[in-house]
Amino acid sequence: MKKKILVLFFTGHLLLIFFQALWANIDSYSNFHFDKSLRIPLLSLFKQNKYTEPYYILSGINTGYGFYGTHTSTEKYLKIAYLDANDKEIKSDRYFRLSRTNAIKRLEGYASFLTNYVADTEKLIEEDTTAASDTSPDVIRLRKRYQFRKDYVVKTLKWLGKREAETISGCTSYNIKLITIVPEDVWERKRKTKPKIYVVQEGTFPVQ
Amino acid sequence: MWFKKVHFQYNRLENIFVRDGGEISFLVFFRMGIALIALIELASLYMDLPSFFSLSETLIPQELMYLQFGDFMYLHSFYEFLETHGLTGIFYKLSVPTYIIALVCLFLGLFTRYVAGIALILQLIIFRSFGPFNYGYDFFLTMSLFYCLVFPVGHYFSLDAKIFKRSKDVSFNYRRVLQIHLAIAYFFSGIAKGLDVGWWNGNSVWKAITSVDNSFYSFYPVLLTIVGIGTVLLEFSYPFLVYKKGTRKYVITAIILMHASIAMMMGLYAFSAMMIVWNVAAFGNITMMNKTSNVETA
Repeated sequence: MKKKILVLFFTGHLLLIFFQALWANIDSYSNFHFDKSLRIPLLSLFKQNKYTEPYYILSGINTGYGFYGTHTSTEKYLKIAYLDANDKEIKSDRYFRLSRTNAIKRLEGYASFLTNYVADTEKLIEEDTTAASDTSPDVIRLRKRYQFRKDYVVKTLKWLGKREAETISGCTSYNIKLITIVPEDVWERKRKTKPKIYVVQEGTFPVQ
Repeated sequence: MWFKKVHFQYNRLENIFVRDGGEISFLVFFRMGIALIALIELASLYMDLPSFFSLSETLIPQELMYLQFGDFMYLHSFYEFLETHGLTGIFYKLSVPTYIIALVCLFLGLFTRYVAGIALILQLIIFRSFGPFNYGYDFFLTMSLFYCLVFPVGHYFSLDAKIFKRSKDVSFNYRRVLQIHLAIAYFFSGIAKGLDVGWWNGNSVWKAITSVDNSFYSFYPVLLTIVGIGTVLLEFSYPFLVYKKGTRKYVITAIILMHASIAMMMGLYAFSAMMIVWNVAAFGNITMMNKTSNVETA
């Protein structure tokens, strides 16, 4: 009996992994190429939904296996400059007091997350094609949503430099940039030229 | 008739999980390997951990870290519960040391199933509390701890085995679960990459490895293209090549080399170590342990 339970449990477990991986692949392909999420009824039953979510989270299988798959992104990072009263740079930093490679890699992951977040927020703003006077519930909901997301990014950038800025004597403000390496075609770019960078988001905040 | 069909299908399923003689070495290697990697990774993060997980020293407030992440609903309720009962400070003080003790006990095989459960829950709470700073390694660690919870990893070469002297029979091929999981993961990873034109012309490899801190941007496009195509083909064909005994050792060697390169070129040491442990545990031939396991099961 125990063996039967084990066989059925692990078969179900592996099927969930299979469906989650299949759905994650289809979804990311569809999102990237057609800019929309697909709804496939059979897959929706097995993929992460409100019924299966606790099991997905507990077993850790709530992840795709793309591993830099569809639309690989370039490196993202954050850079902070601490400024004096004349806006002159006192010092700049990229690591926010983090000392080990492990933590710095995680910070890079966060910069990637923020970049995607900013891009998704911009998509939401583009969706708002109605007149400013339109106050239908759907439009209001959409506007609240992207305003919340814009505030989230600003708040996050503000917090990132706040504590350190307060400890630097003479620092009256700080500037944070979210930077990405610009994707290039390896067959066309000059091989030895350093990659170009682009500022995705920037904010200057006073030290309070 | 209907019952016969079901029974036939069930037997086919059961045959997938028939023992092949490598289960015991797998269980021991997997338990110790996972606990060790988790401990080393935590040690490498320990100095910086308060910046991600602490009461008042985080880079950004803790709730901002998990606010836009999938586990928000659960974490928010959990932290609210702590706050209501005045337990937040105690939780932050005790959670990481408890997690470390649980991992050490898991390595030694002491109260294995319980400590695996504790480690799993704490790993989920601690690491998902800074969700946007998580990457593939954290998800694979959750899966690994889940497997340590549901597999009988503490039955062999463990303090539990010495103290409790339980029955040492394994009637199920737990190793097969990990083998199929890996096959699914690489197969879909190969498909995802194959559908992106960048993996066929070197652009995606360039994007993945180029940093403002290295000079990998100057690699020859031909080299990047070969690496890209090689990665797609290796991952896509992994389930088929690993299934055949004749090609198994070559594909495992190639995949280990791929992960070692990822560790060196992209600095993803913990993730690479985890994937190597999974591959060796699932398909490696740990001869010395197999000999010992024969003694154990005799």
